[in-house]
Amino acid sequence: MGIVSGLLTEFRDLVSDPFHKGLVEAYLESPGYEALLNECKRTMEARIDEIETTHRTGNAGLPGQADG
Amino acid sequence: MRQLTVQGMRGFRDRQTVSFGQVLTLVLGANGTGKTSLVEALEWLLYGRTARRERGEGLSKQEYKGSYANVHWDWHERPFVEAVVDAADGTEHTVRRELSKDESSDLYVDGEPRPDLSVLGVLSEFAKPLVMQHALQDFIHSQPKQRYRALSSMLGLEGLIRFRDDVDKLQGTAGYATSKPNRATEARAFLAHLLAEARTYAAAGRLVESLQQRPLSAQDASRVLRGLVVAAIGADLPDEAVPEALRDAQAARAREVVDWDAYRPHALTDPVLQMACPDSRSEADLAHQLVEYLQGAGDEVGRVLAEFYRMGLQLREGPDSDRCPFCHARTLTAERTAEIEAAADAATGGGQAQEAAATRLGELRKRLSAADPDSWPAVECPSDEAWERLTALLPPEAPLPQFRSAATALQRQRDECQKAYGQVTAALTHVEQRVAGLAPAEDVSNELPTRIEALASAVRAYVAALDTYRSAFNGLSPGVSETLSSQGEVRYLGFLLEAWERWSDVEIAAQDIALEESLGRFRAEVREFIEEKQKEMLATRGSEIKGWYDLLNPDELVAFSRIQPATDALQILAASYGEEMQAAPNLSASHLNCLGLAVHLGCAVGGHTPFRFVLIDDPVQSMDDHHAQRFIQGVLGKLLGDGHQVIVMTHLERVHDHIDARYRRAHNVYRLRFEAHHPEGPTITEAGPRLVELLQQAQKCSEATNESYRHEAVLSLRQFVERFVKDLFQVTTGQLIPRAYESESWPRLRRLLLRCPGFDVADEGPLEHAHEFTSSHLHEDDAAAARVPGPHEIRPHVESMQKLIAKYADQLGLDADEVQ
Repeated sequence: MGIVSGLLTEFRDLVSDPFHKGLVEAYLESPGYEALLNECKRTMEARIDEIETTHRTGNAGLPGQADG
Repeated sequence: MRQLTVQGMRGFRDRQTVSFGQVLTLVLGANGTGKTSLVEALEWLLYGRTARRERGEGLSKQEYKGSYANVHWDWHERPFVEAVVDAADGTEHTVRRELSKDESSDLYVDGEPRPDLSVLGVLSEFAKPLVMQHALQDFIHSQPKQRYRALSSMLGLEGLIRFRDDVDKLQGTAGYATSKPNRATEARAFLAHLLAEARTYAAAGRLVESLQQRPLSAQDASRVLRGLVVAAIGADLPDEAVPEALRDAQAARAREVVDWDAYRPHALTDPVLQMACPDSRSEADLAHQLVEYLQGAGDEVGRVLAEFYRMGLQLREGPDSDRCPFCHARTLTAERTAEIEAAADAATGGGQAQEAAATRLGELRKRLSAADPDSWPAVECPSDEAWERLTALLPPEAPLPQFRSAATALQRQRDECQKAYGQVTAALTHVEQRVAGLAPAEDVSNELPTRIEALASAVRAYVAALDTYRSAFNGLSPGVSETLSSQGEVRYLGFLLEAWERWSDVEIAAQDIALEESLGRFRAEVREFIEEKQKEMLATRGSEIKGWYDLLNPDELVAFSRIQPATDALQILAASYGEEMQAAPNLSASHLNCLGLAVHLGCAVGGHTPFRFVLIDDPVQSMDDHHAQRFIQGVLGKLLGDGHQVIVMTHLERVHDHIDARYRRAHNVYRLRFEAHHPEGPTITEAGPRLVELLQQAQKCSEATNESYRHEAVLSLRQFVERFVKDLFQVTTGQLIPRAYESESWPRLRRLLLRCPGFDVADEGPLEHAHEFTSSHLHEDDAAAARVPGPHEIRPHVESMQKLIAKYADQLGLDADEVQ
């Protein structure tokens, strides 16, 4: 993985999307498809938690100001 | 690479150590003598596996299983390969790999366990310093996709390609989409449902647009939804009040169609149920007692006498209470007064009996009032218009007729109850009047018990009708509810309510869509990055490959031109008189071989590789003479000129000798011979220059008394003559011996001699004599062949050849020491 990790690190530095950086990080840590898949799942689970917590606390998430 | 020790691996059973020259090592050995075993042992040492094994496993894992170890190895210890190498900084290191029975292995560098050779700068397999004949054309004659992978691997992009493939898989049908968290899957399903539902409402057109937007903004969509909700309920309420308002609005709209709840059966109160119970006789008993009382009250004399007594007792009250109010005699003593009061009470219809009757009457009225049908909860019977609406709403198979029949029967029974109750009330009024001493006209008081029983019977029938009605209502209710909720505006309000209450699903779905779209962008970015890297690497490596190729094929009009990368394939292009074409189907086998060699060399050497040595196994075996010559002169010359340590293995003597002759003057050539192969392994010996060896052999055997040795001396002498001519030709002309000269008749050899610049024609005689002498004793069809010459016959030829080699030693690139 020597050269490849070098290229991946270079790629990680190039991408601007934090999610993409996260995927490269996960791949560098534990190369393989599982690492990528787990990172996608982990990201989605975190977003679900965030949305559901927001709805439980009633702070947001309900439809906002009506359009026109 | 200084030396390699192999034990128990491939063709090596017993431990053998092979040393290599610092610059050029020539390995000569017939096929099957173990050359390739040595290369594979080295490959396994470096990477823990071999390309041959991997290719084989692709065909049959079972067949290739266990093929790393030597077939005769008894496993008293672990097979191993060990190399002594010099690192770039000049330090010496020992690299050792040991094989386990399960074919895993352990690597050690200077005795320390290591996962790989990164400590020595070996970071990947792409710069493999091994160029093997059998693998040369694998690259070319493979599918463009496999070729792409192979070259990507050689360019150091293999891992990155794996990464790209993994990213591709993520977006594929078996990727993230099918293994995402359940909550996300549910949310996506809800979004699809919501969108499908929204499409059925003209009013929700903007919501459909909003939910179809990509990227999907849950925030934008929520504003649209709120607008729809405000329009539907007619008010902009706080968030928490919206669901209830929507429910109310929905219920109201449903009622406008059919107020189904109005037809819901009520629960009857306890007194009614008591009356409906056949065992309960309390009301009837009370009625009977009252009637009996009234029958007793018909004794008019007793009633008047009792009245008279009571009036008399009232009249005597005053200061003279013992005086009779009628005769004024003092006859009303206390005893007499008590007697009169007892007589009055004893009179029929008097005092206590009347009070008891009044009490019973009150109790009965109270009970009956609770059972007044007018006080029962109303069950509304659908109007004709309502029936029409229900008939239109419900499907023909709905049990509406049963419900209608039950409703009509219930209504009729209720009327019956009201009628019976009226009858009871009328009788009761008459009883009441009579207890009060009045005499009603058309007195029906005596019918009270009968009428009460008739009422009880009517109530029982009503309860049964109510049960039937309830069953019919419950049977119809789900269908009615469903039909009502699917009705235009009711359904629309339900849709808004569902969207509002499950809006978190829309937000989760939006995030999930965003993540999937992000994967698509990521995939494109990775692909673009890899393509750029390929172009970048091919720009340098491609020109190196072309450089090697051009060394083998200079200025040819039909030749390989370039390697062109695409997303998943690699095109190898050639040109024929300026016309571009695919290389694989159009170039000759020789060109393809050269191209394979160029690709491997392009990847094996150069600034990107940590190795300063390259091992080339049988490089020219399928090349024609021109290409073989260019390989020896151009390719080997460049490798050696660039300072690489080169190990060349071949089974072709003429190639070996040509390389030896060409480079031994400039470089210290180290020669190895792989000879017979035995169960314990190949016989490997270090060798000098073949020319010198042959003459030494001839000299040594010429003096032997044993005829077979002297025969060997004659043979060696003959080989020396041939070798001398060919070496001199190759060294002085730089050309490979043409195949036509493989047949070593003197006229042919002489033609070679005469083409050698610097050859003294005076030396032709001794060579010709020696050739003639050996021919006469070696050719089986010659009569002299049967006789082996004596030492004195051989010796003069050996001596003349010794003078000859000494004279031409410098031209032949031989050291004076070697010639001595």
